[in-house]
Amino acid sequence: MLFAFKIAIPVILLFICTGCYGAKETDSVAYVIAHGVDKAPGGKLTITTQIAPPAGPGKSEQENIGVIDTITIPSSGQNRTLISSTLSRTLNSTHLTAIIISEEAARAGIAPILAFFSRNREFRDSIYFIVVPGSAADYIQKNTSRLNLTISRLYENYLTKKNYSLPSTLHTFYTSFKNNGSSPYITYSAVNPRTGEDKSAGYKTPQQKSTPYIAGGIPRAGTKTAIEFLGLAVFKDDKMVGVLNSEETRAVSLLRGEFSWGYLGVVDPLAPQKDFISLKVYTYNKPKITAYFNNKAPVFTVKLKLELEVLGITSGTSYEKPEYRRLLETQVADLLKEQILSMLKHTQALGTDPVGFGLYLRPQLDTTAELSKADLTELYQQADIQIDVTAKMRRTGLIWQTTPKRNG
Amino acid sequence: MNIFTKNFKALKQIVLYEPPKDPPPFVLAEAERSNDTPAPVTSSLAQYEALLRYAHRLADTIEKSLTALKQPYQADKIAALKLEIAALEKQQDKLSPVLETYSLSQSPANQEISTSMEENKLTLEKLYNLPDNQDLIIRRLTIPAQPPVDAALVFIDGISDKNTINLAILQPLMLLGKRDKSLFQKAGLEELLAEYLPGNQVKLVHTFGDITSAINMGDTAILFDGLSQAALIETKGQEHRGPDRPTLEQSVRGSQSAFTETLRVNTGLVRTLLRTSDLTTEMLTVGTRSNTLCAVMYLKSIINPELVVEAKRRLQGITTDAVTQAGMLQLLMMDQPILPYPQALSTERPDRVAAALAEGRLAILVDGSPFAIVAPISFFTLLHVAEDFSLPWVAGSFARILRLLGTLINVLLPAMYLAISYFHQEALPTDLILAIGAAREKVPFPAFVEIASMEFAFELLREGGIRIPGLLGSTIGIVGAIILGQAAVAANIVSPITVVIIAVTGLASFAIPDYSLSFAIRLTRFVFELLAAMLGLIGVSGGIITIIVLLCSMKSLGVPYMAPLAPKTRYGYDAILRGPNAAQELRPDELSPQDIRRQPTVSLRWTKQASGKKKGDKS
Repeated sequence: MLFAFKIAIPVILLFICTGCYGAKETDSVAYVIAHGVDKAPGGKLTITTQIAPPAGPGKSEQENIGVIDTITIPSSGQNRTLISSTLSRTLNSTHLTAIIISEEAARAGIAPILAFFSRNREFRDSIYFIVVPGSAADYIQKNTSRLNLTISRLYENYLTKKNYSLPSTLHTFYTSFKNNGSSPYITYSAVNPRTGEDKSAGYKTPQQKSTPYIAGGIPRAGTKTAIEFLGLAVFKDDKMVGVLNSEETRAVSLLRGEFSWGYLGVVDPLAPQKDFISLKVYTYNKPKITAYFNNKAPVFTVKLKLELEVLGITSGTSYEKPEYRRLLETQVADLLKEQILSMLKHTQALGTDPVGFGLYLRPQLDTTAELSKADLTELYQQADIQIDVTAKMRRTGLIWQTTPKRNG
Repeated sequence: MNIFTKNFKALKQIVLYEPPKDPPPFVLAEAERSNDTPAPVTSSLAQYEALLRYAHRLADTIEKSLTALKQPYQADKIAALKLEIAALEKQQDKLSPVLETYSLSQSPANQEISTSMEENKLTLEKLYNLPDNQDLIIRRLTIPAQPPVDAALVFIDGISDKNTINLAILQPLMLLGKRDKSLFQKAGLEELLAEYLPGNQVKLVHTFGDITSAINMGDTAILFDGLSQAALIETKGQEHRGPDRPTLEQSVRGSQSAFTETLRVNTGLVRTLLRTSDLTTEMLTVGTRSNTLCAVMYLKSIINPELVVEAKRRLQGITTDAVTQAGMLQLLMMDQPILPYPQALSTERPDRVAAALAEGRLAILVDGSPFAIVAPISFFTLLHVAEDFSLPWVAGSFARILRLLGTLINVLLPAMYLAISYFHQEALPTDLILAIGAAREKVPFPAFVEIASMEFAFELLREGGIRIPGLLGSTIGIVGAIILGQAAVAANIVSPITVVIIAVTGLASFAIPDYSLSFAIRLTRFVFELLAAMLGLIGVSGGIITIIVLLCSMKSLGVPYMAPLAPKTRYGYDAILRGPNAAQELRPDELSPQDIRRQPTVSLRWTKQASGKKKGDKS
């Protein structure tokens, strides 16, 4: 019996000492879904906190938004204390889905914000970062969900797409921010004024049918959802230096190997004035990037293989036939090569490396001393980059061969 | 009598109340508190030694007298003997109180049968509390031998077969005809038994202990006046129910017969499935007052003999007054009776017992109980059912995994819900925790109280469902659960998520085939819920470790409870998963049977033989 006690007491003590404490009932907790960060005068920050509606998703959009509080304070940490005093419930950030940063705050540098979120256990590494032009508070107010029930699911669904926008989480931002060899980037989103005004942004290649846009510039009107995700905010260190348009964002996605498939419209090579071809583009494999020094000047070669599926040919030309197929494949390869080169030129000028070319250069530096001395982003800026895109038509859709219309 | 007098009398009755003059109601008097120790020995050792000396002296004197009588008359020797006898008489007088105490301290059951019929009758009356006890029948008759002998038939009404007594004992004895032989001759009684009594089991006994144990089983004893022997004739014939369909262990494809309350019927049911001379049935008696018969059954050439020795040692080492059920005996002889986990399998199916015996286990059947105890077993045996082997091995394995998952859900689901909703809200998808939070918004109680109250309601329904008779029980159980759940949610006493969790847990508990295991798992679940509410997932994981340690340290009749996993033994494809029947070549290794091999490596020899049909032969 004494032996049993001797065993039992340490075991019980162990449980008591190591057990979990701080139990919270679900009805005494307020779940923060989104944080908005705006720059305020006097070096302060305006933090907007969106709290999930405690009674679950309601029927109206206003009920779905939940509670939104905006407080202007000198530091992010103080926000918690102040907002707690306005709420009856305990703030819980374990389900924080997105941090929305205004472009102004991003351009000023987000290292102070990052320092707060990256150290605290309560914030998950998978929190999405979003940069918006204008006010983050305004963005949160206007972001109402129509098709989705909860705001958190809305962000999650938007940010799984890797085509005209690329998701950026606390983890990916932090690792590329701290690492030498790649530059961080954040998804770019904006509230569309919905006036139908076409604000195309950037260079359009001759093979391209569509126009590049950045968020907020799509000519749309009448739709209810105001926000759109398009483009990429690129950073040099912790400061935002520019925005890539939709086509450039896709180029980054292709080179990072994150692009899986997407739609593409190209000008018909045989009737460039009026006809165009719609295609579905798949990546055959991840791009092969090699790097070497040519007399201290870095050279990158990129080999990108794509597969195509025809969705529609307005001219009716039989691009399925071997003699025409080559034409179409070259047209697509040229288009994407042009877009990639355009993106590279743009980012080299901005001094940011969202693809992470610098990482491929690291094995070429023989010692750690050389590596720590080298500014890989600067080397990227000076680099000669050779792009080789090949596209193969694998499927022709449901039509194997187009026949001309019969007369009589 | 006017109205005033009436009112005055009524008022007087109220004010001057007197209790009615009825006799006082019966109240059981409290017994004098006595120490629960055996009665002290009244006769001292010295007294017994004195008796012994007296007996020796008496024997000497008798011998001397015999030699003196055989020799020619010698006056001096006779006189000396006279003196000695007188001295002996004096000593006897002195010792008579001691003698009396000694004979009184002896149980009548150990008493030898007397030659006097009256004496025997008195002993029986004393033993069976006659004439108050009306169960025992003493039938006097005269056997027409030479000379005629008074005899008495003794049997208990209700457990002996009257037809056998009438036709096979009374009729032959009373219609002996003229028997010129004397019963008092040497071997006279044996001749009577051999020639005239057609009973299938007849034997001669000398003590009342033998008589009582036989007639308590339903046999008949015949006492003869002038003989210190009694004849016992097998006349067992109590009313019993025939083998019925199993009620607890129903199966779709297994056999449809279950044990009954009669031991011999049950052993017979097992033997019909194992028709081999190897099957041994040993009979033992348990319970000092109930004298319950127990059968220990095993296959002699397979079972490890140490298991039989140990089981019999434990059975014989039980000193209790009455064993009325197999479950009671199971608890009395198991390795860790303090733990709720069953350490033996209780089954009502003869086919399960036969399968267990063939594996090298032993079965204990108790008279009056329709359940057999099978031991040793492992934890996994409790999750098996009889028809596992009637199903293809994939289906059988699937059912076993399902039951194991059901057991895990039963233990862990409410605990995990409590731990996560209290301490680890980040562990759930955002939408799910928001949905849980929203569902709990209107409930005024903490999650633990919700779970505890629903558990309590569910346990009440379960207990009630068993107690409510017949068909009504299950209906009330289901209807009660639905109405209670609905109403509790509507009244905002519990949240729908709690109802879902308790319902799933309840459903999972029905997937556990063993009733005792189900009970043990439920008790474990309550402990886990407490741990989860107090210490979160750390508490739950601590509980899991404790349970694993506990289960691994347990033994079933000396065999590790978690075998063949811990300790790891040779795997016979019959624990968590079930292999094809033909692949189960070995018996459970942990039982250390005398013959480990159940079947040869190629048990389906027909697959290796030619079919006897030529290729292309269409006839």
